[in-house]
Amino acid sequence: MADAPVQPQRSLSRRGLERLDLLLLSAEALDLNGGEAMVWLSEEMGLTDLFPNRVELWKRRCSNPLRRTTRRDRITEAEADGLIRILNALADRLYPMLRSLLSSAEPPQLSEQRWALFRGRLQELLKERFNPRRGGVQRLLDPQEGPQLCRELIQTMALSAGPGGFTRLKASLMDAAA
Amino acid sequence: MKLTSRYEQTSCRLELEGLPDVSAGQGDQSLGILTGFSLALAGHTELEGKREHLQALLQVVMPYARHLLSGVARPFGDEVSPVLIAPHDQGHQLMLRSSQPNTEPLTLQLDDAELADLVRCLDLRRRGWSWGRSKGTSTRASLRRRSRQRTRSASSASSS
Repeated sequence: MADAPVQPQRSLSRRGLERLDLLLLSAEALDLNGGEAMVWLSEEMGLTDLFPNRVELWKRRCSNPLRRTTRRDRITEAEADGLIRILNALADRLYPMLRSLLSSAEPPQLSEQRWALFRGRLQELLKERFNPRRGGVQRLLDPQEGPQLCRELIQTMALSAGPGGFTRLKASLMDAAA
Repeated sequence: MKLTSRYEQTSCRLELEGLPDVSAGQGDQSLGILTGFSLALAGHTELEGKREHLQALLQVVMPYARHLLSGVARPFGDEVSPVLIAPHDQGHQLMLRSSQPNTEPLTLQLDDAELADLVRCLDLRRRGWSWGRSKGTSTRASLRRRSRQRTRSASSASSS
């Protein structure tokens, strides 16, 4: 019997990379120290070979085509896995906050205030770092479409937490059309 | 000796019962072979079942969560499945069917936070216990619903 073909390494598609970076940005919107937490978690999880310092971590995230200053080099599968692991750890850390945003048991007024705060911070970060001419960015900034997209980001983060979160999120990002 | 492990999230508590898997070299205090479980969903009900029932629950809830992550909210399970989950009214409807005669299916409405709690609890299957050996029990055998309704609210339950 012929040997099975060697599976080529699969990195994230353009769409997958956009989603992953948006989720990391959402973590920064939820936690003012989110950027620092990423660096710290990367060191904590032994990812210093992939991301030796915060600049390298930043460069990998800038492979996202939606960024204002984007990099053309594609990230490797190992680097994408590293970023997904960081997001998984961030989602775990932020889980109580994610849960309170998604819960219908929270007082509606308080819930709306929390959502407004999150959306406001995310929009600030988007305007600062992302290309406003991109359709994906405009949809997130749109007052009609934006809130539902923000909810989807938070729901994705909540389901990306936990022991199975890495596998779930990676499979979902791999699904994303190129 | 029967062992139990408990995992809690704000609105969900999963308690596993089982035995150590001595064939895998586990110690007396490691739950290696699952024999039964109870699942308490705050504000809803408490379920009890055997390994097969938990397996049936996992078989629909985990792919449902996986698809939801990709923005594809679609039902898992069908009209003969012991467990069915589907998007419903800005949340998720979990339907548990009993094979006991004259028993109405139990329908639970979960919001996004409760679904995430349930998924996190069920994720704990990754922590090293196995399904053990099947004794041929039908997965259609019912999940037993404990008679007592849980009264405490989701917000008062403790988080793990």
